[in-house]
Amino acid sequence: MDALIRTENLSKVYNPRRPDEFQALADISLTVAPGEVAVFKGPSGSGKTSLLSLIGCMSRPTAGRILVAGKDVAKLPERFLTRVRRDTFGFIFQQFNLIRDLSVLENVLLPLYPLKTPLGEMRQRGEEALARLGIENKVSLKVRQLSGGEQQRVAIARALINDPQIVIADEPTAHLDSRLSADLLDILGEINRLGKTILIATHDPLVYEHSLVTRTIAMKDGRVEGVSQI
Amino acid sequence: MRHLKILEYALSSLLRRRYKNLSLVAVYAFTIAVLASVLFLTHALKTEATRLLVDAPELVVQRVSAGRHDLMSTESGERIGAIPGVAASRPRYWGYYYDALTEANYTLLGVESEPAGLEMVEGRLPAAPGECAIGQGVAGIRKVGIGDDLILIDSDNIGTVLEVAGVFRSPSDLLTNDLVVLGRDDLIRFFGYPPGRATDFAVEVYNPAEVDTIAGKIKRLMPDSRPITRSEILRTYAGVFNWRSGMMLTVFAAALIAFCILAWDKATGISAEEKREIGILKAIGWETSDILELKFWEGMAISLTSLLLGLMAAYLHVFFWGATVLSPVIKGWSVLFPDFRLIPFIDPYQILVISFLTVTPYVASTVIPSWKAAVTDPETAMRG
Repeated sequence: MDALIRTENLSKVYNPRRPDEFQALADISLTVAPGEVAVFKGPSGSGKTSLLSLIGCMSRPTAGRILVAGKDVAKLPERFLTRVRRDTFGFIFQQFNLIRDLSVLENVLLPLYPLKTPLGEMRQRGEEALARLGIENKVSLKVRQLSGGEQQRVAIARALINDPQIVIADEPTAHLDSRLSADLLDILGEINRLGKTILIATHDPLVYEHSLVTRTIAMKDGRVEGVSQI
Repeated sequence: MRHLKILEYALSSLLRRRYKNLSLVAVYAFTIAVLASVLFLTHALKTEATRLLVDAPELVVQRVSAGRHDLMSTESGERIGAIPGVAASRPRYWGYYYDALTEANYTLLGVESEPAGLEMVEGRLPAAPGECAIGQGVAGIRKVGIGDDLILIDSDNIGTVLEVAGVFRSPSDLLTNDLVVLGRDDLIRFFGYPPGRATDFAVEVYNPAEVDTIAGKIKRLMPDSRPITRSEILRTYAGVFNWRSGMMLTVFAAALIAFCILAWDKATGISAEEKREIGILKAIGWETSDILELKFWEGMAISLTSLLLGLMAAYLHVFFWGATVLSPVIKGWSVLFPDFRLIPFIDPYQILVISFLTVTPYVASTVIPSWKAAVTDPETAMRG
């Protein structure tokens, strides 16, 4: 099967040519096929988040290529990169990255504001996404009034609102207890069954040992240590 | 649709930070109100003066003796009238009167016929000796009306009793507020003018374009005369009001600069929370132009609201409340202006200037720092 994501000799240096220069990634080459659940595992500072950030077009590599659906996105102008990010990826961040003073529904609808989707349709899509995640009764609450698990679900609903091809989850269980973590993995399983490709950065065994995972990429010190296909 | 949705989001963003934004609008609107008040008042006064001087003579000739205004002989009027191009030369009888009782200056005018530009609120012009008509300011400060006696101290230090026959109205109170009109002979007697003397002469010319030439001829004919054209009076008014408003604006400049620093600091000092929000929006698919549009709407909403409130406050202050705060500085020549009420004159050019000076810098200082955050990688921006 053709790779949905391919990285070639990818490297990332933060603060280049400065005293605090730091090489986060070095010479990363890997592929992810459509419909896979790929887990990037490794200790803190191993480069998992940086790699997902590059793949998700949230930052640019210092060297190397990133091909998403056959298109090299590494050198795309900012405007096109944003479109790729918007149309292809849904993000579930470790810190949720919700806007605390907005309501649950407003947070979920955020990606749709700059699009031409009519307000009525936006609202309908938002409510459906929240209903799928079982928090339809929290629609008008402010995000700051929700528990960690509920905030996580809001973040997932927001990630899915644009019907992305690829969902990127960065340490999604970091702030959840084991029961909520299991619930989250069930939700990710459902998303995967819809045909979405899922990339997860984690150091939680509950995640990388889960039956849902199809490929594990072990990372250390900014390099790929090993890849195991399950 | 897309722009409307971003506008809607911008407004809801402002409401989320309502206390910060309300305080900003309050300071911003106050600054605009003061600036606009000075400009409105100055412009209204100049326009008012221009309107009033429409009825003024094209040329007034006074006599200057030892550098001060002195009475003129009526023969001078005949000499002026003989100059080619002069249609008429009329003596005028008037003078200033300091009323120790009310500590106010009145203008006393002696007339034989109804003066131009004056209308009566009630009553009539003086028709018999011992009668007068007064402006509303005088009526108010002396608490007199039609049929009451107005007692003024004459040149012999004796109280002269004048019966109030009428109270004036004019397009504004500027012309008549401090006015006391009495019969010509009463005024001559009151001020103790010697026979054959007038205060000055109003000169009519056939061709208004030649008024400066005729003024020159009068000056050559009577070296002790001082011809004053209507345009010179207008220029003097404009100069005085411009100078006063300039002084006000200079004093106010410190506050304006303080506001600019505050606005710049508020707008440019974009907080870590705001940077993070920009990062989140970019991460979930907002383009840089969408974020700039969001910040543009936010800046416009704040600055246009402040502009509107400031202009409304200035309009009410100047045209409804008589510019209570500024009028002593801008007008400043009489104590008989407490009820001063100008007819609203607004110059669209001034509104444009105020808008340009206030809205543009604020919107720029909102958009530019956000642009810096918006062109940063979302990953970096989200870290705040």
